[in-house]
Amino acid sequence: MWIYEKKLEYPVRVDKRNPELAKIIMTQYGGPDGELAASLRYLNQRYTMPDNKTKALLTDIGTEELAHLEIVATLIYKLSKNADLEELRAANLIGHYTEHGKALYYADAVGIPFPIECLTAKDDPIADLQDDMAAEQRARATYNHLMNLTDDKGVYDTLAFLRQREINHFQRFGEALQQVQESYACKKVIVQGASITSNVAVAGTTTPNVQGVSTSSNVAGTSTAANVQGTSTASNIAGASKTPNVSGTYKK
Amino acid sequence: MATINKNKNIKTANTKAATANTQTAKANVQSATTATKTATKTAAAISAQMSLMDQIQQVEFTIYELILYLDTHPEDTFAIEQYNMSVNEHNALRAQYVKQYGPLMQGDPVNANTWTWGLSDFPWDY
Repeated sequence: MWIYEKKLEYPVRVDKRNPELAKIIMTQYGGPDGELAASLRYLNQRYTMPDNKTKALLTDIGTEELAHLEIVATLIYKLSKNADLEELRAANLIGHYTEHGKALYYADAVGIPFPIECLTAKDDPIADLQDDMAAEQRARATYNHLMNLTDDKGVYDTLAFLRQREINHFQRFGEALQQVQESYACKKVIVQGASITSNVAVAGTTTPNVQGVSTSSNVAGTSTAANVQGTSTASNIAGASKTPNVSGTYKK
Repeated sequence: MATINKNKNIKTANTKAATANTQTAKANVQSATTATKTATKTAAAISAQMSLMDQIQQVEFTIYELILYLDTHPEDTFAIEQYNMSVNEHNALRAQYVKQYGPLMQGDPVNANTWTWGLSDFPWDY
């Protein structure tokens, strides 16, 4: 079950009214790479994950995305709250006003309603986790674009926080993917009964940092070692740390 | 017919009682020093409340981040230690906030004579 807490995960400060900015931030509310999509995708995929560890991660990140959805909603609401009709017209929000008044609506920056088909689920942890990692990067890129488009310091600060969370989620999904692949590789070797290789694989499973555990994992169609390499390189580009970023990320 | 009238009377009585309760509630809101409405009257009070909320958000962020880390590193005893420390700190700050400003979620104690949950502002309004 879920319990609502009457507070935001991160404070939202809007320096001045700006319905145009509200309109573009809407994509993180109801767009295909927004917080709603992320939350629903992870919370839906978790049922068919192969182990409790991965189910826990999808539950926890899916839940945090709901908190982000509320932060994004607060941004949109505050940016457009007292806008008059002329301002809405200037911000190209007159269509939105016609349909929904000043209510929030799950649509992207150009008003296309939330596309349910973006909620991929394949009952395949490799496909699903790869997709989740890509989703985090798409969301990060969208936050980048939004940050380029705002000069409101308060809004920028909140967007920067949300952007950083996407990077950290990407890192955790990458670790989960690596562990799932290692456990598949391990199972495969044990079934084949190759005892020497099996020992290596078991050691690799318990120690996540061991690289090149087994190159015979055909589950994903590529070698485990290559994927491990790919994951860490990508995360370096994105600037994520392997350890929890408890002191550095949270800035007001 | 008599029964219906009786029921009507009971309904009227209930409505009256409800009105009385509402009035009592209103009176309680005015007198309750712990109610959020009262607490948000002055700028200093707002700033004190925000400052406490800020501390809660910071500790909570540490907890969220450690949870995700521990999901993929379940045997990191140092992280578990940090997690437990943060949880204790969070509980203390939260209890202080709830006592002063009212419940943050279902299951929090209500330290006033009125149901402050529906009276305090929602986060997009402050």
